[in-house]
Amino acid sequence: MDANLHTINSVVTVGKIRFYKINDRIAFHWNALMAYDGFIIDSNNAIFIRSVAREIRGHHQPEIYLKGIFLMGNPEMKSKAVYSLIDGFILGGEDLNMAANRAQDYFLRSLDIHPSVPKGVFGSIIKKAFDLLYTRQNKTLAPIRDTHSIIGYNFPELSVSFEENEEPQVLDALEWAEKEGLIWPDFQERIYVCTSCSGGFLSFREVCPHCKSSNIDGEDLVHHFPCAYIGPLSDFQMEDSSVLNCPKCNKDLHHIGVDYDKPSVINHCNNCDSIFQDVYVKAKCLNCESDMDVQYLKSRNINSYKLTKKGRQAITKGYSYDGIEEQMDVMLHSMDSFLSLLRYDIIRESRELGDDVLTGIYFENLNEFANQFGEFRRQSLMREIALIVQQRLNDLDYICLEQSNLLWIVIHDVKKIEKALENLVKDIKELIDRNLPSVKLSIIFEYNHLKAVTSAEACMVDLKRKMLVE
Amino acid sequence: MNLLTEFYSFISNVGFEKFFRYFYFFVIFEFFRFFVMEVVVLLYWVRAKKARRPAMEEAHFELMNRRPLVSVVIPGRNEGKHLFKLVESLRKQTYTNMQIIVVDDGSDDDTPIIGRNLERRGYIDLFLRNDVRGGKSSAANLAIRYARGEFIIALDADCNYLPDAIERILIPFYYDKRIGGVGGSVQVYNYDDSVACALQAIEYFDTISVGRIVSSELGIYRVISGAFGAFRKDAIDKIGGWDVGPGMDGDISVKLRKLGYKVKFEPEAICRTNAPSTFKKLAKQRLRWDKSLIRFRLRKHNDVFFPTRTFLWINFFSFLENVVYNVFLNFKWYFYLGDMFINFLSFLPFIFITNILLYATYNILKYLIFGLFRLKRKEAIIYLLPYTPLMVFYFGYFLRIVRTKAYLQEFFFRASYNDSWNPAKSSRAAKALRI
Repeated sequence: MDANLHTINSVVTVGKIRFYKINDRIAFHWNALMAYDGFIIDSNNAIFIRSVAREIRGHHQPEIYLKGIFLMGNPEMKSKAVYSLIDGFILGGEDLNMAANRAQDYFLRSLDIHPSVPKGVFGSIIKKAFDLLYTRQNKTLAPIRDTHSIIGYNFPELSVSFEENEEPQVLDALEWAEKEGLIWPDFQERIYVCTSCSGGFLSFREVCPHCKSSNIDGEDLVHHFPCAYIGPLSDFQMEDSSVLNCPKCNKDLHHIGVDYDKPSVINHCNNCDSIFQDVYVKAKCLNCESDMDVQYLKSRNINSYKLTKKGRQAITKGYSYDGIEEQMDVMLHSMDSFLSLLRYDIIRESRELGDDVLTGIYFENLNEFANQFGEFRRQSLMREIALIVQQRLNDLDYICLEQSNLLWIVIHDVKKIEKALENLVKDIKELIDRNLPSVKLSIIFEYNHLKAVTSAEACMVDLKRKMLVE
Repeated sequence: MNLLTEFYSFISNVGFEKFFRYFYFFVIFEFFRFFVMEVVVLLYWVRAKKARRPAMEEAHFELMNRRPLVSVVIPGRNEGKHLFKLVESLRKQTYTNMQIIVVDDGSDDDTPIIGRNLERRGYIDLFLRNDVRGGKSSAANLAIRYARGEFIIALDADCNYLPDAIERILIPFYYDKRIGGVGGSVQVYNYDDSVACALQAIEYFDTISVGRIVSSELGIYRVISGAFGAFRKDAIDKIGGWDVGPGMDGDISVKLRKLGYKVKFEPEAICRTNAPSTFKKLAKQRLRWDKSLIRFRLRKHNDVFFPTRTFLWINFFSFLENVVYNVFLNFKWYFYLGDMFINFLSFLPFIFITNILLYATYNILKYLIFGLFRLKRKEAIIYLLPYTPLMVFYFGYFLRIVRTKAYLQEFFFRASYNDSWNPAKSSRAAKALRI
């Protein structure tokens, strides 16, 4: 055992197991660390620990994100989510052996994992989280209260793949997986989220039903039995005495329940001067500042999740179900199949067998739309858009969706491509204007004639650069 | 057959002097006061009304020109089922500048849900609820506490109002600025539900409405109906609103009079109410009404009879007439009965039959003649005509017995303080203070 645990970014070896010890953020590249069996984070800096743990678990390569993470010592962590991302603490030599055993176990279990990825928008993200749970002895995916998360909860193993303001999409992903029968929910809490941005930080206020101002004051109503006078408590209060006195009959009030009672309350709005008893309760989103009636808030369940038998089988034997995109009424190819077809078409072009065009349509702010209206509506919108596109294609043309906001289309033997694409985008915009007038979706499109390119990947990279960078 | 012959013989030989001796109660107290005197005053009223027309039209113009805010207050308990219909009737009013306030006095049915719903939909301006029942007076007082109108109109939830009712009841305030309260005319809506309803409908036509026209013309009108009454807000504020009931409508009218305000009846402002449909329910209602006469006229406001700071001759006569004709003559009738029993035992069946015939004829005559003065609702007149002979039993016996019972209960046991119409806590407190 190389027991020098305190050198900078060094390697720690326990038998055949090699850990890469990180105590500085400098001078390493994740891809270069794939060969290690695990990572040891050696720092007292909670922010550093959190950042490194998130980077490892958020990495796209299973050779990184499935590796064990161990923490040197037991530093105090503010973010409880970190504890879900790490696999143990190393306080001494014994713990190092334990870490080595675990790292080996994770590796062995990772060998069972089937390389297939669930189809659908969240496919690769879901796979990452599920593979992690599987290798950790079917660990429970548990929510953690987190003020950094927009919904107030965090599922660390899954949330690392999302930005903090994308947490509602974590719930969407989990809901989807639950619907597919991959995970089994155990109810923990119900939260109410903003209808606009799905934020969970809401300020509930009693407001005036007339002007919606929260500048209201409530007061007890007092009923004086002998003379039947009834009015707010302030009517009975005297400046120079603590005794309540009836303004109608001028008698002092003695005992509640005997000569007076408080049958109700009354509210006064200091803004519009109105009187009312029934206040409105409104919820102001602290994230986007939308002010909503509470009855319209969306409720979401916060569950902890366990992999189901189907889920475990899917991890080890492959995902055999139909994913989200396949539920669409349109034929969307997977990226692999799209690339194969594209390669074939490029070969055809090189033999001058046709004039085909690769087109990319990029929906620039579609993620904002998802944040605002939820994943379900985003998917519905994409389905509608894909349908419009498909209606204008020939049987030989094909479509693929990348990262849920970039649509790839190969169009065969097209004439006046520029005009055709302009019309297509116009139709998409009309669809959105008709159904969601408040949404201004930014659409960018570019195309390349396949004759001009040498490889499918290069063609797509070129178009992406044009759309996303230029 | 023999009885008929004897009766004919009795009538043929009775003569004027004996007739007066046998039927003096009818002649002096009933026929003279409730027919001759009322017809005379009604004729005077018709002339006076004609003379007042230009001034009333001017008052009407001023009202519609100024269009003051009017607060319509509707206190009640478990009245939710009537609210929508009532609000609909208010929305059809020709006078529209209204603030509608509904007060739910601790209902244990769906009233709060209905009220809140109407408030949210903007059908009423303010729905207030007391979770603990406090009595109708406190509910009405809560409404006026938050009323912003220049005038207050108090309504019952189970009534509906002719489209010009609110407009009509407000006009007198602009005719005479000293008027503090105006009572609307209450008619029976469900007159064809039962015999009890039909008889009440005739009573409301003849005795209540016409009686109020007469008393208002004479300046002695003293009960602004709780179902439909309008008040100046400043006057209501001065008297501190309603006191603990029952009988709060009569009480508030007297309080206004004692402050020097005039109280008027407006027969053209018409409200329709659902009358009790059985004699049992009717008896319960009237027991409550009649007890309040003793409680308020003879106890709480007996200062009207004495030369106090607020003494007014008109109030004195108003009370005197009320007490004499309702209390004194009620008991006097039993003396009359005793008198006949002791002195004319052998003629008692004939006196009884003759009385019945006299009263029946009188009631039909009264119904027809007073019908000439009725302003609206002609369609009910024909329907109710066959019931008029029954009024002799209704008015002469049923109501008299109920009234007697109420007076005795209130005289000796202060029974109105035990009436469940009001919560015990309020009645107990009022009783302790003798108010």
